[in-house]
Amino acid sequence: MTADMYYRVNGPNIVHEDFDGEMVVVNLETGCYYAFNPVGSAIWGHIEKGCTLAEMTGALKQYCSGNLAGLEQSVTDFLGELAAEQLISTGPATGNGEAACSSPEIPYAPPELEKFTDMQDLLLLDPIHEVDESGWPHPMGGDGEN
Amino acid sequence: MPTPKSNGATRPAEFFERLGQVHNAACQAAGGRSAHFFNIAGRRVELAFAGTGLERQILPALEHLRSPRQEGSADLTVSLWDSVSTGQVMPAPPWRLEDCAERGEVRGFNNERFQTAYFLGSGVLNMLDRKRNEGLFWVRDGSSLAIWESGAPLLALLNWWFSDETRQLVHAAAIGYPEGGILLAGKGGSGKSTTALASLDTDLFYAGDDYCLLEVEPELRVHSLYNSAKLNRDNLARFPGLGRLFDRPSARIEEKALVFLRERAAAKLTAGFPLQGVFLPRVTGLTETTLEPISSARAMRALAPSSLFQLCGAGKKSFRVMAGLIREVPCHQLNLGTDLNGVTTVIRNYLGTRNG
Repeated sequence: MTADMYYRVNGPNIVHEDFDGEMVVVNLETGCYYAFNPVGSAIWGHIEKGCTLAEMTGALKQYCSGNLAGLEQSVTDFLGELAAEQLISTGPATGNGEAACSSPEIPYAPPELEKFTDMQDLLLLDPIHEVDESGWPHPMGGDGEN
Repeated sequence: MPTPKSNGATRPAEFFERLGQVHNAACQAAGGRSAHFFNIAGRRVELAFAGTGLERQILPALEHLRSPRQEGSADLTVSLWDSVSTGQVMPAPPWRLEDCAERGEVRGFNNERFQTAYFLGSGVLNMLDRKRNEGLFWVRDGSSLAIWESGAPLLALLNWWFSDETRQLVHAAAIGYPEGGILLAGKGGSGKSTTALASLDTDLFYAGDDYCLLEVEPELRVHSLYNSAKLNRDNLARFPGLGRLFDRPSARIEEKALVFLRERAAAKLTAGFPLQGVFLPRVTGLTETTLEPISSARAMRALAPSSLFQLCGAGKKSFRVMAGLIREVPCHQLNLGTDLNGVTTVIRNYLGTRNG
């Protein structure tokens, strides 16, 4: 991961919406969904706009207030976390992201990701079934005839 | 375990056509085509059964939306049959077992025109031809249809057909007045059904306890889909006034008791109302019920994932429609007290204030 790589949201299974600076992100493939704190949500906004790590940290320094010590490392760690969750991926910089980096002032706290996994069971296939003579699987317990 | 026979050359259109022929044969074998009409969200939906074998499993949840018989005028026509009662053998599925993906979607049989789902848990096949506004519903043995299919019949078909840029099925309960009501969102066990059922002993009306259709334009509106109500059997004791609803001998002893309110509380049912808020019930164990404002993002996290992962075909567009709706209404957490009267009083006061 280098400062001049850009980041993009993985599609089409990652859906996301911004609610007044509070991001809701859902991975349609895994069943996991995520909440970010304000700085994390701001970083996601930059990712959407194709910013590089350098552009993100530069922008955050402009509009985040408070103690910014360790900002670069926190952002790098956060991006690594997003990548580990397969929410984002990287590519060579396009040079298009810098102008898009702007946000209202927010108090700085290291970016955080909260992961919810309680919906994953809904995506599990039911492995318990029989297949009848014409080839249709059906729940166990039937007589297996059409 | 054997895998289904595969015929890769058969495409959705051909298979849909073939199944239409099987339905016709099933109608002849079962003594005729039995048509029933419903007004769902202002659209006329015709359910055409082969005989009567499936009717008692499918119709009760939709009875409150029944409309007069009017042949040839339906916006959507669904053909339904089962093999056991009609004696009609199904052609082999033209896909492999491993093509049945999460949420029932069959890989290779979903495109702009056709949508196909086969649910391994219930053995139910759904297909929709969006161009002709025709659907198919088949199960091997209608008499053993799963309780959730009877409580929310044709869920996949209705989601496919109704959901577009301005409408979306959601996993939520809804109660309110003709002038406006609320959506109760949250995963199973959050208290949606308990809250919705508590409304039956008040002047509130009931639009659903599990699934509803939301409309964003021309106004924010909730449409009822089913008059069914489900409740954990160990929770029945909390409803001394409503316990009578759940004493039907036909209610199956499974994880939840199922009742059709059209049979016991028809006057409390509504086809829908304007949406005036999204509430997230939360069981507290305290006596008093309270209401606290929450962010739109939090409400979205309660509504969207449980809807997206339960509804076959729901995806990015569905997420966007739900987000658009959430942004437009006040969102609150409903801290449920143990006193059910207190729960409904808080809701009635909220709606009373909103409706002047």
